[in-house]
Amino acid sequence: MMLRPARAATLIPAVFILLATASLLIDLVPFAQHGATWQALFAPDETSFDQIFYHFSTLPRTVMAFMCGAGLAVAGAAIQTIFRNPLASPVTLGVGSGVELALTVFLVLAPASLANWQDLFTLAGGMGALGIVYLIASGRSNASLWLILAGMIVNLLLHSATQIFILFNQQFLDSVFMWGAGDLAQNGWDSTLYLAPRLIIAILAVVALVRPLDILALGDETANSLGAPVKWLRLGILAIAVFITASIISTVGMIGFIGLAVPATLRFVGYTRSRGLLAMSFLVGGCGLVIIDYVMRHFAGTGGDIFPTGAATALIGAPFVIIILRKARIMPDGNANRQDHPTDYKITSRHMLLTGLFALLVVGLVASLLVSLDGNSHPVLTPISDLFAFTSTIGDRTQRTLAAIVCGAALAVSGTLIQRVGHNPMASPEITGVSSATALTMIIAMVYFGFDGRTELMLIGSVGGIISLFVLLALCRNFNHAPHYLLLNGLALTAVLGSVVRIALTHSGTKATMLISWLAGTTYFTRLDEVITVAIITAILSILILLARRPLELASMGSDQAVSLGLGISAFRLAMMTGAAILAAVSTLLVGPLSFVGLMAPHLARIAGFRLAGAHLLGAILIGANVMMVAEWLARNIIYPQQLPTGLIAALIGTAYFLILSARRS
Amino acid sequence: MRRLLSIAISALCIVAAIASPAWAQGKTYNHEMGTVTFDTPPTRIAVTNWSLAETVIALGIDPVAIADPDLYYEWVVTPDLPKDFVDIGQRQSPNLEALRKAKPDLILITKELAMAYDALSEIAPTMVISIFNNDQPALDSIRKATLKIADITGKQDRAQEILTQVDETLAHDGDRIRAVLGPDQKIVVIRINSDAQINVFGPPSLPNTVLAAMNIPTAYNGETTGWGFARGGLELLAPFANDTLAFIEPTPAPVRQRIVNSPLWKMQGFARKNRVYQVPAVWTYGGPYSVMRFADLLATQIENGPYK
Repeated sequence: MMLRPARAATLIPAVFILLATASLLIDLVPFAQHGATWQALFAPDETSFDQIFYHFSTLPRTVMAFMCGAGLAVAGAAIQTIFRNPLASPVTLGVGSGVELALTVFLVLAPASLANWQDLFTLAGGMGALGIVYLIASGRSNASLWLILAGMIVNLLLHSATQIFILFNQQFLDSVFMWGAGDLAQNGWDSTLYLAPRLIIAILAVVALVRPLDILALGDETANSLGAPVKWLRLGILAIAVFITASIISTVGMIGFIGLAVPATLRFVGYTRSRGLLAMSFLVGGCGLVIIDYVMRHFAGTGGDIFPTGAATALIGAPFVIIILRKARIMPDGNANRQDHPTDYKITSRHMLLTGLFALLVVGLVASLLVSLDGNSHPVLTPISDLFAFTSTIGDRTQRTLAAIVCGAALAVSGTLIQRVGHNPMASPEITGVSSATALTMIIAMVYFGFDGRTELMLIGSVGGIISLFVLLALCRNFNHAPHYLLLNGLALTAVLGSVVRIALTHSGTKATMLISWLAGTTYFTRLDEVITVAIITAILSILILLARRPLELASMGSDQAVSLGLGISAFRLAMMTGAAILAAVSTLLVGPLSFVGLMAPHLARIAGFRLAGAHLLGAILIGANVMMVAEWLARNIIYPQQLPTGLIAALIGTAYFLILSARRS
Repeated sequence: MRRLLSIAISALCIVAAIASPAWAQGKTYNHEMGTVTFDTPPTRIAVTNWSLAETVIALGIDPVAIADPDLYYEWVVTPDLPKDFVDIGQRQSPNLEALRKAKPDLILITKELAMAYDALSEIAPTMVISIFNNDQPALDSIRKATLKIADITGKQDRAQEILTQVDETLAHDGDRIRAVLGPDQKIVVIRINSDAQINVFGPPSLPNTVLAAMNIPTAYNGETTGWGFARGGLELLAPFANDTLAFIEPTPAPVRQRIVNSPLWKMQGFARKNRVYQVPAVWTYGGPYSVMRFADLLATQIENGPYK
């Protein structure tokens, strides 16, 4: 049954408020039975642990949950209004991960004497991340789409950076994980009283800016013509929203999706004016988190372990966002479907370029096998005689380098297919969530069902990846593969992956570090037979796709033209997408889900002038292989004997590429 | 292909071993993921885990390759690592190149590295000996692992010596603690994780099995994760109002301050009755030395008086 929006507008807040009030009352029942409600609330009896616990843990925790939910929702409402983009929120625009990285670095490195500067540091982290996102997105033809894309990229990158940091400071593993998972547990009123004044002032400031917000919501031109200082207003409101988010995240940790889901839903049911939107976001966000936290508190303690609220929020929020925004049919931008044609940089002839890339790959391969760095970063040449020994240093390096190269190629093919068949130059297995779904299936199979054979995991992961791609295609069918739905899907799946990983990590001390390094994309556990399997699969699929390059060319034109040209587009598209999913899945097992090669390689190849399907594929494969080879060498050698995950280095290269690209544009 | 080759090589070695004089009788040992065979006891041992490092050192052997040596001195502290060894990077992904350079003739790993078993086996015979997270009481596991490694390396006498030393230390420290606290005082051991989270050690953990061996009653005997602790907020400590609490370092100083100054801590029985003790760094996933270190430090701290 579909509710009429007008009725939903009153019903939704009412239900949330009722449920939250009910949860508050249920907590008080045991005290009411003994007539001790007043005591528990305000002056606990020091001999009764129940009263102490209620007064110093349950109550501040509930207040904290309300404040955080309300604050995040208000910040989200403001940011969505400013950018006129229902997918924008403090967390999707990178603020959350910026704060997370800054805080992790601060906790680990800063001396105790600097403790008072923590706020400023985390605020700078959040602002910095948002700045990078803004830099990438600004000046593009469809800025709102790029805003979300850049947010995703920066999020993934900063998040991996945080994980690497934790990986090398394992003594903080437990505490940072708990914090990162958004644990609301309280031992007293300190944090609550610390956060309260900040949030109250900041939220009042947002409320005071209701009229400018309404003006900004009209669009830049209209706002300008009304004489509003658009730039300054926007910057001011953004700063307040980031301040709210940074304060909350640095106090209680990551709480995902409240800031996105609550205002987006409210706008959908009819709160379009800022005043109503802000007020309702405040109430529904606050009550929503109180309810989620109430449920989580009652889950805690099962199996001698806890269940962090923030991770649960993302788990509930992500699918919710997909459903609501699909129903809402909100287009972030009138131009969202238009292709963003990158300008060509014609460096040299395409044949020369292909030959050059191939030569680079071969030379690079030999060099990366023979040259390494020692503990003092001095280059060391490995004796060539080692080449002929099966089990040797060179043998190990070969395995890992080949794994990286093969995965680079597989991801490049996968990305090219998704970009071409999906008519979306910004899609890739990483961005659309196929890689995340693969990793998610593998982790669930590994942690909760005890599978540990890598071949089994690869198969299970492939099935997960393929299913997710089909679900994605089914969801997007009506929208002709509208780019923002692909992004939305990727965003949601990546968030679900993140929260499941966090929950799995808090629950399984055993595999924690192994899981993190795998997720960041290490080739460490890769074996030669796996590399060969993946290489064969990649080779066969690539050859098949190359043979089908003509229909692929037609499919890339858009389905209408292709159908009129007599091509059975659906079956073909399905076949190509399946191929893309398989390739993404097999490479995910070897290097994790987060490298950006699937996005970067086809994009670069296109820019370099490889426009036709066949050349585009070849170019992308060579670029992908080269990037991963370099990433692998760096990963093995920069801080020898410690090793970094290859996927992270590839992601670093990818983000740097986007930054340079965006700098050139503007 | 490579496996075939290595099988062929080992087959050749076995043939060569049979052909050579009688002393070269290969001896085969089982471990969690297969078997290894040695003609002569291995002497160049690489360890990827601190509990194994400690156990090997306890047997009087200097490991040739050790992971995370800097962090070792922060968390495990004793025994001293040998003067000369190869740093193989992180425990969860020991660097294969560095490991190869150490030229080990035996690599010891725990099942957390099971995924790398094949790769490690190509460098040297590799044995999987898990001391923790194996559903067994930690102290028993440590004894078994010590005897097992002693058996392989031919250090059985030294193993008996160190295990006797462990027994004597525990008996002695148990008496010291009873002398202060009396015979019936229960002890709960925790580690502080963050401002709001603690780990409470339970039945299979090193602290609790050591307390049990010292004949000191343990306070927490409930559910635990595979690593032997329950995790949660300070409410986990509510049942221990009349018991003695010991928390194990290291904890970042600000975190410790915030925990012990929080109302929820200060109002609980153990804190109000002044029965909280601070134990300096002990690796609660260690080997025989960590067992003795825990017992010694706990006894000393209890003699020195509660944490202020």
